[in-house]
Amino acid sequence: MSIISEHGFRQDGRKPHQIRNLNYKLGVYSQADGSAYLEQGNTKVLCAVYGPYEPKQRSRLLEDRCIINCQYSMATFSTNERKERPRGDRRSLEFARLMEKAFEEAILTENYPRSQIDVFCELLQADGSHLAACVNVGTLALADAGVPMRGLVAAASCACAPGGLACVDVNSREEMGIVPRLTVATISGQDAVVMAELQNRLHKNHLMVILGNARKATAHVHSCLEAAVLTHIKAAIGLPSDSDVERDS
Amino acid sequence: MEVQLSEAEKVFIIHGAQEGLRADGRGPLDYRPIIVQTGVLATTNGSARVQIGSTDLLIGVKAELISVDTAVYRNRLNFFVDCSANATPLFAGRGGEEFADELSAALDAAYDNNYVLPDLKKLILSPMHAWKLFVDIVLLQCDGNVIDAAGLGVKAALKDTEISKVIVRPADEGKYTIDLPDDNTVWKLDTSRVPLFVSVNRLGTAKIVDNSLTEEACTRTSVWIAVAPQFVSDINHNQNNQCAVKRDGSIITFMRQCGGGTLEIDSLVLEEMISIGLKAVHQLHEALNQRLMNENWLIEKPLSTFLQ
Repeated sequence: MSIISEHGFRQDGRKPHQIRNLNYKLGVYSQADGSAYLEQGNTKVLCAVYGPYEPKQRSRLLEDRCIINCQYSMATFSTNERKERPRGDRRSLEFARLMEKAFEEAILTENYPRSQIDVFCELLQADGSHLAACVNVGTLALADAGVPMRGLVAAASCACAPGGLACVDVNSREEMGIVPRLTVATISGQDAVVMAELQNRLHKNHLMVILGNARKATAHVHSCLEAAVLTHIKAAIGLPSDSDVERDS
Repeated sequence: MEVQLSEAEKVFIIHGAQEGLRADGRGPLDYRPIIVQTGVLATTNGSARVQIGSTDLLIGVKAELISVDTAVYRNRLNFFVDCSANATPLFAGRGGEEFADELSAALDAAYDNNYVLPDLKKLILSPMHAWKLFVDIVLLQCDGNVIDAAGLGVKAALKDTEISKVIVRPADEGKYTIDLPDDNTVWKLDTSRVPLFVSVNRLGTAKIVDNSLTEEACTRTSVWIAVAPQFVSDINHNQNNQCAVKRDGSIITFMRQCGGGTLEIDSLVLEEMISIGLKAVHQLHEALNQRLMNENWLIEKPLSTFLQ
């Protein structure tokens, strides 16, 4: 069964270049320094940011910049088949390291020497593109925590349908066993790629097409994340929202 | 789980509790606002989200059809508690496993009898097949009194649980096969006897329920009690059998002292704590039953509970 039907639509009715609906909520929890909740289609992620604070393990301390500690955790009921352990397997550790590298590039780490920033992601419902959703919710939580960054890190996944056609923001039914999938994260949706992860084999003739489409998808995601942060800031400082301004004029 | 308080802050909180007034203005037997929602996740057979103040728990129930190879099968709920690092950085990695094991052991002990869930017999389909119910709890935010929230959430999630009806057919060599019917009918568990937890805590000489994180730092000792309701039909049955009728109309399925400290057995302190717990859990049962009954009338369930 192919990803795209004969009429050019995917199984959930999207065109190949369309991303799923993004629903968000910033400031979910008051005890964390920053927290965010993101729904990317049916993938639901919750993230909490703690810090910058003084690390407990002195051996990890860096004199010139802060360290980023990420944890990726899937709830045991998040998939259709129950998972035995929420974290600690190879895939969650790999995802955590990838997220750490992406955020280390985006966060101005030199502002906080000898400090640590924790980013904890909890996947509540799994429907594909887990790594991209976790990066997106992590950047929203870091923005909620007030951590200065070069730009919002936007991530998107892209699958290669048979024939070299790119389908962005794959869901769980499109994440079939042998379909090549590329997850790309950029800063501000522009050309600076801070994370790239490829699963399964991909012909090199298709690589640039997939990479270009994934970067365009991150630009779409970044516009959604930027609108989310701007709406949250306007609500916080009491400015009228865009709909109010349009209604007045 | 740990909040740093100075001695003067602890004295202030303890003296306030002994005067019947807490730091957030509650009385000794008052709960913080409790929010219970069911049907919050689509990938589970039943789910619930519970908030008591800032404490936030997410509960999912999954039913798996398993093959039973031993003659004796332990037909009970299987609890798993995951302390998410979202609650505190101390839970990162394997940091929250001790607290999670304590919670799951308490839930296991409270549900380890044939009274609380009569429908457990229906989970055994054949000598070879049985439904196995996994109750998974994710602790998202911790502001004290996790055990009460876990008890409320497990009852709400079990109320929401839907299990598919299956057709059992005998096959060759004394074996059985399982088929799904075409109409996709489901059945629900009878949760009228499911217990709820209450944690009664001693601060100085005061006894309070629903302690927050700051009050947990000042607590001398805690008693966890799980109470299942007993209904009029059960009482009538007892009367027919010439048994003594319980005045409280409740059955204690679990009691444990947690958090260290001492309890004087010879005095009336433990009896007072138990009576306070029974009174509080009775009100919890009434409020939760009313909430779940109200939510059952709603046709569409809120699947975007975190966006509100």
